[in-house]
Amino acid sequence: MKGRLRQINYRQAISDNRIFVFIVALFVIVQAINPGFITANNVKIIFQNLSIEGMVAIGMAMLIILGEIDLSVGAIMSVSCCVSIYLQPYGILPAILASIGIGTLAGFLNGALVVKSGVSSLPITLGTMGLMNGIVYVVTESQSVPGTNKSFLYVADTMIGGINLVIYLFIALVVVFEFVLQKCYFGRSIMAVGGNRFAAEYVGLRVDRVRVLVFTLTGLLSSIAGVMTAARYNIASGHIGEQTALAVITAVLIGGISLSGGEGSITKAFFGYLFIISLQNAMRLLKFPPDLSTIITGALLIVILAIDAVTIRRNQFK
Amino acid sequence: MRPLQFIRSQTQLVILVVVFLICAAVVPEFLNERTVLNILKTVATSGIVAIGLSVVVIGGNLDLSVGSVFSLMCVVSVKMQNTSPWLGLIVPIVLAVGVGALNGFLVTRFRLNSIIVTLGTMSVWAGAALLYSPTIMTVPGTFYEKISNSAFLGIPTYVYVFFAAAIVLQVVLFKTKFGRSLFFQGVNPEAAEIAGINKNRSTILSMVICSICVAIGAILQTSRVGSGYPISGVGLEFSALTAVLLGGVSIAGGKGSALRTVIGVLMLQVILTGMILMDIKHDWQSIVKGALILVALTLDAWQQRAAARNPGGLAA
Repeated sequence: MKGRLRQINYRQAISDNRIFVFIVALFVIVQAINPGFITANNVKIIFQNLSIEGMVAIGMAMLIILGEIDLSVGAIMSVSCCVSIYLQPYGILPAILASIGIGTLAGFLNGALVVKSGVSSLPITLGTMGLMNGIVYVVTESQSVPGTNKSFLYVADTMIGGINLVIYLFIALVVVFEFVLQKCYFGRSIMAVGGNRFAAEYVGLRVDRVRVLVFTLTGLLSSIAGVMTAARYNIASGHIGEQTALAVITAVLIGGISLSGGEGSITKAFFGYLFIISLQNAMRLLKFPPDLSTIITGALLIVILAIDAVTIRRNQFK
Repeated sequence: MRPLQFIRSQTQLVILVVVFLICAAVVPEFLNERTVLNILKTVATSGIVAIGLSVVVIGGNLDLSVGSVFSLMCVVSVKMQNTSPWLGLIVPIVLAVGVGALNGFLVTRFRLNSIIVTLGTMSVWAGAALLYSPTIMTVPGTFYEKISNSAFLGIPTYVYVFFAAAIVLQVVLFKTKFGRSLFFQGVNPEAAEIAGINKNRSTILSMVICSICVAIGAILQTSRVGSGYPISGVGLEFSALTAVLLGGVSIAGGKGSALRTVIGVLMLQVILTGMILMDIKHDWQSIVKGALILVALTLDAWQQRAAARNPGGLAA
């Protein structure tokens, strides 16, 4: 026992959990410059901004652990949002169910196309992204269409103990999917397939079924995010979700989940996204121009990837 | 080569002719001189981007940053034009060499997936273009007007630039060592490495070529439209990739050519123009492009599987 304790490699531990270092550093630095950063109100704003697309990040994390990717998540969000807005006159529940149903179906189709065609998931989901974005543009005629049912707004913004319903929902989803990923047969299969697809197939896992299922779950999560977008902003537009894929992929990678697949956790994705949202919030507080924050997000993605690549190779040659 | 064999080996060309004939049959004004000229004009600027992209795709990589780089080069070209017309031509191209080299460096030095790298640079350059010039800028000088107004045999000069670029790249791809090694590494990167091909060099070079093509496209676009717009390249990577795949360039790498991409570009533009003339709303374009990408991808996968079953067959 003593021997094992001494074996803890602190450098390794820090580089595995570097996202916490990033977040602490960001909060300390920004708080020092602008004391308005860590206040109850601003933290609540950060979590409100985090919670909707954060659901998409859960799905993207599972996909990247599986060794796949999905560029169409923003488009699925946009489609679900659109369905929610247009079906509002028929009642809240039918609108929500239809949106989630359609989003889940879209995710399933993504998975089925990837598995059946044998083409890698990136170009396939680039295609479905265009297709689904196009559907929203056609339905809304490239306009912003407002919702008609005011009570739909309560879906996201019902307050319980001063905190929005959507934040509770997001935290619940993080906990549930983290449990599934770490403790359930299905979650372990995701890791196994991501680690080595052929080995997983060899030991008898139904690889294709796992892949289709994870795409479907990502569709489900994106469509819930779409419903929440409709409830929060009360508008359907083809521009919704345009930046989602980039933001969410960046979040997952910054959180410390490797693109090569096979390992990671939902918590890491959560903190990765928390970092990005806090950074954007901080840049707004410090009055950076919005275009600069686009540049910084992109540059951050590249830098993190480069660091990852260097450390992974160093560990290989040890 | 027997006629039937030729037709089977040139699927894309046959599809282009069929699509063109269908459009001509449905819409009478399609065979108009003006329509055909308009197709060629539109194709010239975005088409250069597509043939540049095809070089990258043949090497087994992808460049999603072409749209943002296009926007950036448009505004840079116009701003430099204020100082001197020659700077408006040279600076974008020099910058493009740097931009492409950066993509290539990141991909090769850190062995990263090119799609993720260019997803990052895509947002960097998109932000940079907006930061550099937040609004639309008009071209002050007459230099650009010279480019856009000069014509030969009734066809604008920049249309010739497009076809010349396609022919040059076709020669580069098929007659140079660089081109051959690009195909080799696209088909099988490990084998190419074992065979002693400098994969890093050809990857970087392919991305530089792509960026230069984007810069030329941006210069032609600014002179055609007469203004620089910081979001003029939004969605361009999407349509360029659609054209590349329609031309039969394989997303897996190692298959395709610059001239085939020209066919793909023409096919896409004929379809889009046909849609406009049939009074189909502009909103449908994204759906059609997305569907075409998926069709082209599945066709390509299907062809490759057939080729794997039947080595040495026509599909290869």
